[in-house]
Amino acid sequence: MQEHSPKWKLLDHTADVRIEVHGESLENLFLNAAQALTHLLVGSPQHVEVTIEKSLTLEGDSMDILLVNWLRELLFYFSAEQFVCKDTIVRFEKPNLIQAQLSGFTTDFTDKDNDGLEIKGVTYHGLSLDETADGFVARVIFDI
Amino acid sequence: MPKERPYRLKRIDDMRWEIPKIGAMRVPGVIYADSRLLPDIEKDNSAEQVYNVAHLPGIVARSIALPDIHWGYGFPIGGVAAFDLDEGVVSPGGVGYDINCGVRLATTGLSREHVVPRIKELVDSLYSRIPSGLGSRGKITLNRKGMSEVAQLGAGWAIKQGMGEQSDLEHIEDHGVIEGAESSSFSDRAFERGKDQLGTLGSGNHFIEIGFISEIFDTDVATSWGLSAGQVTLLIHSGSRGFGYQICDEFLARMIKSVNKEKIDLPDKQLACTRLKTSLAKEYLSAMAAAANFAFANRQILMNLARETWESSMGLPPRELRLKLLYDVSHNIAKIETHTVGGRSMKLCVHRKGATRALPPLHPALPSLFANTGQPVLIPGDMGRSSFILVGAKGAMEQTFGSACHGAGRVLSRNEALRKTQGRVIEQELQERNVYGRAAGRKTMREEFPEAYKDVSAVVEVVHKAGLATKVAQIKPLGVIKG
Repeated sequence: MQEHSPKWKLLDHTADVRIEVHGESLENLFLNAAQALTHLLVGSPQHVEVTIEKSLTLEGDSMDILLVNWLRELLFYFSAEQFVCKDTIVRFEKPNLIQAQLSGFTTDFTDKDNDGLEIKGVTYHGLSLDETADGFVARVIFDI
Repeated sequence: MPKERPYRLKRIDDMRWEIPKIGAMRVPGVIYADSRLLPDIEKDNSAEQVYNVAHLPGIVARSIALPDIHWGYGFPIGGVAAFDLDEGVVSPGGVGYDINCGVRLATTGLSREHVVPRIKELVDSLYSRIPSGLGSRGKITLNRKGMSEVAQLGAGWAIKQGMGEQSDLEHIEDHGVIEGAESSSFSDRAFERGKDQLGTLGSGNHFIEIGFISEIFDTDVATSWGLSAGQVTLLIHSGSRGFGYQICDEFLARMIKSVNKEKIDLPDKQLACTRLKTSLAKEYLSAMAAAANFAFANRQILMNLARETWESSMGLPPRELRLKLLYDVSHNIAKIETHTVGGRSMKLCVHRKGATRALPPLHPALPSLFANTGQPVLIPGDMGRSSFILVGAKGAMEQTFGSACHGAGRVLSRNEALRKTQGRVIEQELQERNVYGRAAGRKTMREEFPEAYKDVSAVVEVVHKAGLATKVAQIKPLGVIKG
């Protein structure tokens, strides 16, 4: 359960879920963060066909806030539209503004028996996004 | 996890520890714990969160943590903080995403012997009938107008639809409705996220539990509330679902921006807040009231669903089941209340994040039913051990802005819980304790296994001895549905 892929991992937090995400570039970090969220919500959807494409533009006052805004947006699509983001292409239009293409599918949760977590929100507690020798690393806590 | 800490804990007495005021703290911190509970509190970052909250503008008297305290985000879970209306702030993170998450307890006319032989059948029926788990959707789909009615009427909305009795309202904190919810106060996104979630349990630590009264500590109060040993009970823990989560999310994002304009220095971004005098604060309090009312309606509907299912699965007429609401408490909320501080009566905005209001006898906000006893304080424990019914006491008004703990409090992270329960079948272990459990999520049972929580008896003992609320009865579980 601890290690999912070198792209992101779970860290301990008493009540909630804390993740650490890595990326060679910021674009890659945003992609990996989206995939981490999808994994937490529904597990690994490799075998589900992409049926929906979406595009969105988002900004944030700083890079860490932009990352939170990105995850908030994806969480809203999931919670209100049952949209699961399977893959995404993220492009930085300006330093704190992204344009993203999302591909995914909708799920109807008819099966009670699942591995997913109900994530209530993306928090700012212990939020960080730093540049490292290998790229970027971010830490985010989700309220569950 | 512990890093170098800027504060130290100073023992006040057997039940209380102080974080003395240093640096930019505006008030000291107080943590309620005995020597058994303190090591768990020191293990994570929860005491630091008490210290951080003490920095917020307009905080009055002390930043408080109750004995079920554990590491949350921003405010600790099990935290209470009150703010002056002129200088002080309101913080959506100090209420939480699950606005008016709370607990309700109903009693029945059945005894333990009557229910034990059929507990499996009953729990299975409740599990299949009541939507629970990730993305659960209910039978009610609201349009925007319907959502506004729920937001304004609270539990009364469900009763208007035939789901309960008018008299139930006397048994709900604030009569099941918080005033001030404007229909324009919530966004389209909040509406979208909540429109089909009324009458759903949710996931994680939300639950429905069938139990029985295993011990009575205060015979007078128990008799006055119609409680007796061996009596079967229904306990429901849920909140405002996606509607509340989205409202918290949106106001937090707005306040992350507004703190700079208001020149509020925050030790943690999640403490984002706005001064109570701003229009943003008024907007938040109105939206928060809408979500709180949604949660009151949700628990009313869940109780009604449980009643119908119970009657049909056990073939009981209503006069035999006699399901009667004892009380419904909110444990994630901010409220404008009057308190006496330093001999002066003040209107304050009291944040309870994982804390229960605990009004003592003769408090003016109590309905006549509870005027002489004080307010029932419901403290669920973990699913294997027990839960408690307490009654609000005078000490709460003197020390904690009329508050007591809200549960046992987690002690293991979900990850640690999964590691510790690797290869174990929790359902089977529960059965050995004579509890029949079902959960929607495959991992929920392991994440929520009893030892992931502090021992609720130890938590309640501190609250009892500190005089915040006193023990009335203990409940032991028979069957549980986890989200």
